[in-house]
Amino acid sequence: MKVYSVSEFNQTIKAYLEEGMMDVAVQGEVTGYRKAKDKLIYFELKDDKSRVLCFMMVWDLKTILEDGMEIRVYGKPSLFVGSGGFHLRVKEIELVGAGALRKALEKLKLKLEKEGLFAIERKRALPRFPFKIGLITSPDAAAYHDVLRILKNRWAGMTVYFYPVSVQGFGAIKQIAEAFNYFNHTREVEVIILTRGGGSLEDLQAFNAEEVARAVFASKIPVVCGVGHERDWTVADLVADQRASTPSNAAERIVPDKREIISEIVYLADRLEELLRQDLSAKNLTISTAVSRMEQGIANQRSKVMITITHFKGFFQHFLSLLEGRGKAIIEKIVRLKSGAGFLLEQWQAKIQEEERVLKTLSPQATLDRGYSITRNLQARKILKDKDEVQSGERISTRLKRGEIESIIK
Amino acid sequence: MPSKQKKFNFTETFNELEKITEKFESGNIDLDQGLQEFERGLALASELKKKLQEVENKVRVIKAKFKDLEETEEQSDK
Repeated sequence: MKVYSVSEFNQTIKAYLEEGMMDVAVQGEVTGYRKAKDKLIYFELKDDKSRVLCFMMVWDLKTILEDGMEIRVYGKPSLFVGSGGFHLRVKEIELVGAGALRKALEKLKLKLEKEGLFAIERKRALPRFPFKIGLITSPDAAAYHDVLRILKNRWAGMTVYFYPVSVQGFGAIKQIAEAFNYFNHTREVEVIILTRGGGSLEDLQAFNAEEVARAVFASKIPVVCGVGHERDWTVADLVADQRASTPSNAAERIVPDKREIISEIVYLADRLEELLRQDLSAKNLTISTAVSRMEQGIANQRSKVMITITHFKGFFQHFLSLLEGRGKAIIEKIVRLKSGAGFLLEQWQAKIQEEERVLKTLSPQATLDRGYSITRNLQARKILKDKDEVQSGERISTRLKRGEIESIIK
Repeated sequence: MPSKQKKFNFTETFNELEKITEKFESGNIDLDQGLQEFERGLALASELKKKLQEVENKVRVIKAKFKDLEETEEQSDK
């Protein structure tokens, strides 16, 4: 028989326990809870007959833990090599019983609310027409089929990226957090649905877990959370960008109804046509108005011209007739003048000869011919009739029958 | 129409159709341009309708452990 050293023995038993047994779930009441070195947690689980030591790391503890709480732990049996102490190496804890759960939940909600994880301001709008949708749920659940059915009925041509997870029980929290990591890492999808059917507060622990809440909060992709038929909001609901009342409702919130969108598209196309027609007929009206105005203008001008021409014609006729009348009168005058002219000339000639004769008899020349003379004062240009009319030194002219004599008075 | 090189983007196409309609609503349509845009609007509308008449949705199941994609064509309703 092989003789083991103590260390060897403890090592072997530890390995035997850890490798030989699957993960186990153990439920009981917490007692002797204590933290060591800020990272190690020890407590015992007990029922009315037995107790077992539990050991876990601080970072695996996702909930509040107090003595007297009823909990369910997930982990493997193990052995401390040093002390040989048998224990349960705990990986995850679930609270059991509505009281404990509610207490833990209220505490977590308060904490996250203070940190601003539920703030309305950070809620993002969902894409209007998503075609790549991330789905985080369990493949076995009705929720999965509900979501796919609604998506298919409402929307078309999309790709659903389905990340299967457990939505409750051991590993659920971690898987859901990983799913968010995955989608945010690959960035393939435009929106994420986190959903499951309804259940008790106990069933919904993953959706009330801080780690899931933080994963939803950290997601760069908008999240819709839908838990079936729940009156109370889970923490995931509170952090998500939108909360849906059921898995089907989550799908409805994510995609529009294609019938509505198609009728909107048809409306837009019809409206375009209608507007174009309206515009065309408005333009036509403007053009025809302009054309008729132009025609009107031309017609006006033409009628003005016509009136002017007509007036002119009238005046011209009148003028012609006037001319005709006057012409006749003038011609008559000319004829009359012509016939009267010879007689007048003869008369004028006889008159002139008579006047010449009279003038001749009156002229002083005849007197001068008889030896008389005419003397004029040259200064006064007067005919002298008196000796006083002239003074000494003045010049006089004396006209004889033939020629003139100038003299100076002594 | 969305060019052949560029992948058809439903949202962009829909937005463009809405924008053209808004422009028409606001009046002031240049006749030549208006006709062109009208034709484009009709083409966009028919592309959009075509996309929505697709029947099948694809479901890709992501294998969590290895984080790689396995594409499966599933009927989306069971």
